[in-house]
Amino acid sequence: MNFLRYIASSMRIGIYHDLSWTNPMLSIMLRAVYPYSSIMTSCLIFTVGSKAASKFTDVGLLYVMIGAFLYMHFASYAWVPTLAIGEGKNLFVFQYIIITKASSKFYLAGRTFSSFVVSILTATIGFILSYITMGSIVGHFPQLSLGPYSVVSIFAISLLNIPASLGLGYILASYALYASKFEWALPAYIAGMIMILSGALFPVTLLPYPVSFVAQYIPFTEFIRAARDVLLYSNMSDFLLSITTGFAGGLILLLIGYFVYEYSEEKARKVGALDRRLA
Amino acid sequence: MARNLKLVAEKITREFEVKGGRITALYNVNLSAWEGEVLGVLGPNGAGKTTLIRILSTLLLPTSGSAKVMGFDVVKEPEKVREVINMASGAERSGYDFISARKNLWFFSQLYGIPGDEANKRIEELAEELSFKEYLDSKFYSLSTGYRQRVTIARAFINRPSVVFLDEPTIGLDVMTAMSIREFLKRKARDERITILLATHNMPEVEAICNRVAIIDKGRIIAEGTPEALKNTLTLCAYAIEIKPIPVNLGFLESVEGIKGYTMKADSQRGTATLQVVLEDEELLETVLFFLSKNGIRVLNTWRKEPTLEEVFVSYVGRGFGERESES
Repeated sequence: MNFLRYIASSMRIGIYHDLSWTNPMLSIMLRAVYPYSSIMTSCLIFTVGSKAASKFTDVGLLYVMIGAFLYMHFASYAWVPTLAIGEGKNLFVFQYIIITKASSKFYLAGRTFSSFVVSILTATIGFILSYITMGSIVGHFPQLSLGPYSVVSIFAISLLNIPASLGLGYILASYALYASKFEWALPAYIAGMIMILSGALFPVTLLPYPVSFVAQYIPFTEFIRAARDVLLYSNMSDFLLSITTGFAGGLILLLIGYFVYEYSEEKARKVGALDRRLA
Repeated sequence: MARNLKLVAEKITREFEVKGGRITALYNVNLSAWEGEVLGVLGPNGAGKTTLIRILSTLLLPTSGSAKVMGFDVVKEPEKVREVINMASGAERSGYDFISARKNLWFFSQLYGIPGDEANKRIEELAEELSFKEYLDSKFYSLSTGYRQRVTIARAFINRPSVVFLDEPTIGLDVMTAMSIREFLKRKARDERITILLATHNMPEVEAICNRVAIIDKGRIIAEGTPEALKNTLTLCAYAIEIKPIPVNLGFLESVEGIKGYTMKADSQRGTATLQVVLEDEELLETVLFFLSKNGIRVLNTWRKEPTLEEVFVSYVGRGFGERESES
């Protein structure tokens, strides 16, 4: 059961990393600014546009708000393995993690889990603040299906999405193993891709074929769809189908990510990139 | 006491692809180290020391050749090798800046699967041995260079490794810190029978703590033995010549047959320099003095030197470290 120790200690390092640079409460509040501003931007664009076309509806606003909330949450921790490697190389730590008894894959999993914890907190704060702000902007609070059951369901969606985010994280981390120059804006690119391909702000059917076909089977799309089913439409049968499909897709993505990362690590060992400092 | 071979490298070659071709960083390197031995790998920058350590510590694959650490193949069984080794580099004060020295060490102890209580005890012990106990709870970034390096060295011993690879562990440190780290390394090798491979270009360090030395240059091991044995192989004579003024160029010495090598240390405050020459025959000293005088250099003092590792190095390589490094 040593792998649990590896993951738990890496999670602890990740939490310190995310929160201990200042007062932890202040750190969480500051980290909530990004999801809050992103959700607000999406909602405001929708509101202004739809009101101008006289097509504003509460369901439409909540559709955008829920999508933006979840894509921010998913995106914010999918790139953590990449960051953990980039930062680890620059602090001369990563090579020493590689040569420990633990695999670097457990380290990256631990860092992803810690970021998940921080991200669920900050994205939820961002969502609540956006809901309140938009309520005051449109003059009333749109009706959400909120209750203990839906809250638990949203939390379940977040948890079940972890394999998908970790899988994507491993694939992206494979880049960081080789990189000699690091693109620090990578998280923004990934967030953007997830936003477009996951149906966060508009149905994926609007995308050109075959992108629309692929996008509808991406786990993130399924989970965002499931969140809308539970918070917006109270449609439990579709909810269960979406989370099952999303979770299965996530496991496949995790498996692919795991092997891509393992292959890349061996290749990086061959070319001598494991301990290469990033510019 | 029966001694076990802990590290064996056979014909290790490593080439790197570069623009316009390939460079050979290591060529046919053979090396072995015994239990409890401190093996120094002595060579100038760019000689291949770090590449060798990267291969033995499983971070890099060799192009050809094989190596075993504690009987495990570094190419085929990296996971098993990683259980019994550790390493540290003096050029890299590795640690998470935003957490304390204690938490840094604790984190690595967990990656070795050490139970919490035992890990805490070990961290305290290492901090005591390396004299940084009072800084254990200071954040890593706030530590001075010397204390960061102590923490880095402690990390290299956190898992009670059988073999430790150290790359220039005292580089850039003050004399006292460097001495205390050397004492620590000697104790670990002697008392806990840990095998240490020490890559360095610091000759006094090698003389102080290494049981055996391998001299490496341009990716090749060119001599190997105990420091004393290496000095005894030196049939050449070494002289120190104090000269004034400091010469800009000593290229004229290269035309003198019988000079195996030379190094020069300048004292700019006094405007003098000490030239160390390794000669095939002591009668050649007259020739050297003549050439110095011919080139307008005044000789202030001359004395014969007891051979040091530096002379050994010069006799094998032809030049001292300073000159070799400025070439690379």
